[in-house]
Amino acid sequence: MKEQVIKLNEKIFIHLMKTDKFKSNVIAAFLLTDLDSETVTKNALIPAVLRRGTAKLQTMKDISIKMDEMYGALFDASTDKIGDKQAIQLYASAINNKFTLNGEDLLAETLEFMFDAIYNPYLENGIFCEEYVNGEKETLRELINSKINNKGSYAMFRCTEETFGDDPYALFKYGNEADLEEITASNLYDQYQTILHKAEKHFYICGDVEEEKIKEFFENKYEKIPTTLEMIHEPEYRTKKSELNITEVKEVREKMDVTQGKLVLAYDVDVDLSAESFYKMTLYNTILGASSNSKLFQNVREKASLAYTTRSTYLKHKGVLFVTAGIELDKYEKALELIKIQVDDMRKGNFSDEDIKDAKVFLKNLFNSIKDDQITLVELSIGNFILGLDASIDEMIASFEKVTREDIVEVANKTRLVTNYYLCAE
Amino acid sequence: MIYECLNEKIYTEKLENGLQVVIIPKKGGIKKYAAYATHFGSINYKFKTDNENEAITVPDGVAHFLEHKLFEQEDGVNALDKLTKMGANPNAYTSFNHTSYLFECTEDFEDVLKALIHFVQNPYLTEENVEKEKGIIGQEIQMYDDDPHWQLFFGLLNSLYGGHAITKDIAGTIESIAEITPETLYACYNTFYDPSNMILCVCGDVDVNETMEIIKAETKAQKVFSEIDRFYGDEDENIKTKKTEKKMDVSIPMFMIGFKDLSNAAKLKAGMPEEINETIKYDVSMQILLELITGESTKLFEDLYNEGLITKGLAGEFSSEEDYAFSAISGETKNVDEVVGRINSRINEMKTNGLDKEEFERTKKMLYGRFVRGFEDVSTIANMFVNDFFRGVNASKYTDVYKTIDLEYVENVLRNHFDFEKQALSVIMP
Repeated sequence: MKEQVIKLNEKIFIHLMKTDKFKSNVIAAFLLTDLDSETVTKNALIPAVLRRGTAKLQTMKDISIKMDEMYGALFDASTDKIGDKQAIQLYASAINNKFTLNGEDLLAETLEFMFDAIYNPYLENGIFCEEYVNGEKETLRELINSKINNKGSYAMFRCTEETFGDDPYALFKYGNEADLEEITASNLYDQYQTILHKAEKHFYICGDVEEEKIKEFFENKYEKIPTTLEMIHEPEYRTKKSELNITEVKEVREKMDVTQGKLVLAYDVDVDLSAESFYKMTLYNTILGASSNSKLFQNVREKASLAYTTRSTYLKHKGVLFVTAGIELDKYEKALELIKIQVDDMRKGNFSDEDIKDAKVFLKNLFNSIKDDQITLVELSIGNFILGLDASIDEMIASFEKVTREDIVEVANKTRLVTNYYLCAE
Repeated sequence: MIYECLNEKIYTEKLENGLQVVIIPKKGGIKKYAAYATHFGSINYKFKTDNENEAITVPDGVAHFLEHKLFEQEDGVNALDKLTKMGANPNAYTSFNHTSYLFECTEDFEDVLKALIHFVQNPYLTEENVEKEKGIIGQEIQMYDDDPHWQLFFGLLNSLYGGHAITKDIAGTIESIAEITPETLYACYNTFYDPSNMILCVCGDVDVNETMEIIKAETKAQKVFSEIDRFYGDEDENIKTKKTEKKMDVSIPMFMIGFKDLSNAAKLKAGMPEEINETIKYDVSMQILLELITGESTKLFEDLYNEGLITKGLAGEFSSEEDYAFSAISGETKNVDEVVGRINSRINEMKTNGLDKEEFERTKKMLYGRFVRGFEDVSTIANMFVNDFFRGVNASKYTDVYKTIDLEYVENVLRNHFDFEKQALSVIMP
């Protein structure tokens, strides 16, 4: 399966992933806007309001009943942070027409519904419905506050926030509770109009589909939607490396009622965001802490029994590496020391050729597996697009193969610890 | 035997050594998956074989501990590392009633399958490596201590059940695992890891005959027991307590209500009609009912959402095994009493008025579609077959049930299951 990109105009991209191996078709839409403290909360609220109703299906119940009738089709709208972009994303998925019991054309219905959800939301007096906006403000307030419920992801968020400081990437993807006060049905609708005009839009269609039909559908739809001058403006950048402005390691301690401590270390990596750096850093990250053969897993968990979970994650859109560990509260010093030794060993080249080989096999398997999962395929593609990485899965695997020991040591020596965040007991 | 389900063929065979094999050669996919599982989980703390005069009792968490330790091999190479090096993604898990060793891979499937069978069949347990594992598992137990959803779930189990082993935490406690020795683990291994107590399920684009040959050649018959007697603790049909509450660092109260049902075995014993005992039909009925009570297409959900009482969906689940059965409905809300009251009114109303024909048909169609969707991922498919095998269910039968189940049957299940005398509530408060 090869991804085919149809550029309808400067701001509208249709990504076709044509294959008959799946039992459902997935349709996704991403409206990409700059991550910005001024708009982050509004942009997080918009998909929640879109989810509430369309001009035709005015309530969530109407939508849900429609989805039930479409053989349990799924629909969701949410927000995500991808590099320096905040995405308003909508997903819909329905089983292949061939599995319906009465020969319904679910693909056509799904496309139509998706387009309605974006362009024909339920309005009252020409703006978003006030009841929906107010209801979703409360839901979003709860979602923002619930970030403490999962201690692992909370620690990760807090470390990101401390590391990026004033940079927009520090923002929580659901925004700030304080911003909610100012939001009204009217100013939220204005923001959405701005997004519809300015945002780059990516539609993904993955499944058993015909190219001509899809193209025709979008051309017909967009004929009726006026294009403004702003729409031919190319984005300045989709993501870039940030100046972190941290000279000495920033130590952050936070206390909560927990029985296990959560340690997160952030390392700034002095590399550009090129494809080449991505391949090198991915190999580095795999050997350090992404697989069960990794140095962190083997030495911190298996040999020293200091943690049940420990891993490293490379944030490809920002060139930052995170190391996380769930540890016993009285073993903080020991675990920290052992983690630092692993990172240092990478710098000194203290890893074997077999480690490199294992990492390549691991990555090959991992990336090949993505071919069987529609949602992950879509996520990988949009992520790569924002990074500016234009490569198929097979090409990515081939590039991992070419990374050498010298490449890995080179990037290992560009890592610098910037934040030490520890969530521990009161 | 060969079954068909959604254009896929399902091959099943019981080998001479007693092992149940299921192969689903799903065409066109890249991922291949295998799970080798034993009918031994956290609730098996007391058991007896024909070779022993008396039942033996083992410390809580022993099945899970053994799961961790089986990866350790005599040649010093950890099986997890070995399979990972082969390009596979190996893992294992322990549930209440089974332990499963599994891997997903894209290449060299046959070699990895052999390696899986090999390590599960060759335990290597020493004082030293058992001691070392206590640290890692201790960390895992603490991680769950901080997980509000896990605590919520166990709060419900501890309200519904008094003496049954299902109330024991799957990983045990720091104190119980301290008592585990290589001898305990070998005793469990020798009892439960006999092919006659296991299933091997493969899903992915594989050659059926070759795969079957490998499994036949690699799995060895050990001592064959005629029967393992399992004791789960004393339990009657009544619940232990109406409500359990716990305080944790969370942003909003979480609740889970559950109804205790008779286990599949107890239903038989109580002389309930054969038909109501068809596990798949009963399960599908419960899926439909839970959807009709709390699903997003219901008026109840719409009202609760619009009134700001809930901010996301309510989850409904039904578990039925040989020795226990219960339903659970969970959610997050500022006002637990109000939401629980409204859910109960909805159940009462359904019991009084019966089900709406149109809603019923729509829900059936929806669940059928969800099932088709689930039949995509090799791990989801294989895990479903493994799970269902241990409760005597052939998962290839679901699609027929979704198409044919009738309203009257489901109404019978509604009146049988949702007995308010058997309802309990678990709450996590900020």
